[in-house]
Amino acid sequence: MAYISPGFQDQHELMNYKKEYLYKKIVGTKQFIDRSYRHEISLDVLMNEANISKYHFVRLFKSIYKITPHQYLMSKRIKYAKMELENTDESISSICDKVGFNSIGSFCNLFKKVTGQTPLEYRNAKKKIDVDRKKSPIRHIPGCYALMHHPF
Amino acid sequence: MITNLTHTFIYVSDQDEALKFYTEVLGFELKANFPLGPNKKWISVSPPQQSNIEIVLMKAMEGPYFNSETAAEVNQLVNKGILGWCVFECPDIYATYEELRSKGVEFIDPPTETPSGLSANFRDNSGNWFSLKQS
Repeated sequence: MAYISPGFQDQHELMNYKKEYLYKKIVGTKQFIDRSYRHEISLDVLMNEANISKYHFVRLFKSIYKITPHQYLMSKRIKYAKMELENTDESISSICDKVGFNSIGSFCNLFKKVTGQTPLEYRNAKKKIDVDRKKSPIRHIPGCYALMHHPF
Repeated sequence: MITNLTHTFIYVSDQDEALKFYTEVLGFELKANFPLGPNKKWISVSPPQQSNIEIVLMKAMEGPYFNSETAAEVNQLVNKGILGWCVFECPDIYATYEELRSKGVEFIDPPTETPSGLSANFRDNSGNWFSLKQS
């Protein structure tokens, strides 16, 4: 007869507990990345947070989120870089540093790969849209809904 | 010939609070947030992998489309929590359920096997309900 840990009625309950435990750990790790993306995060640190082997950790993370922990971390950094570019006048190098990249070259390359634009091109394009929205907000919403709030 | 969906609309009780919920809790991306006039804003968000579809977070207000009575009726319906707007998708429903619950999202039911697959239902912070299914 298979050994069942004390506190579990059967293997099914034990497996469900393990699954829930692992889910909590992987979700907790994702949330750790969400909070700590600006800092240097190594896979070992993430693995220690999850308390499972590196291979298992990466495989499980990818099975849930469809990308690796490293790819997820990079996506968070790019996301916050975009927000900084849109909402501040900070220099590109300052933003690069702020969101956790070590080198401006790798930041700019990844940014262009993800968005199709350099950080400066992205910022300038967004500024142009903002100026136009302030001048003529109606041009930026679908016509029928413009009627709801602002008759022509 | 119609080719795409570009915008859809959700009525919310407070646009700023809804924006915080959809971006900070659900992880949607801000697409637009600008004033249309006194007390009127255009706020839209997109699911992370569908930046070409905008969900507009609307507040029913008196204006050319609604009179004050109708606007109040729409807001009442929102506050009653009976309006369900759409179905969202996620790669892993258990992980998403775990994460959203830890952020305080109200789930009407946990992930459940249905004829069309695993799904759960949750509310936004205005009371609107949504279905969440696993892709």
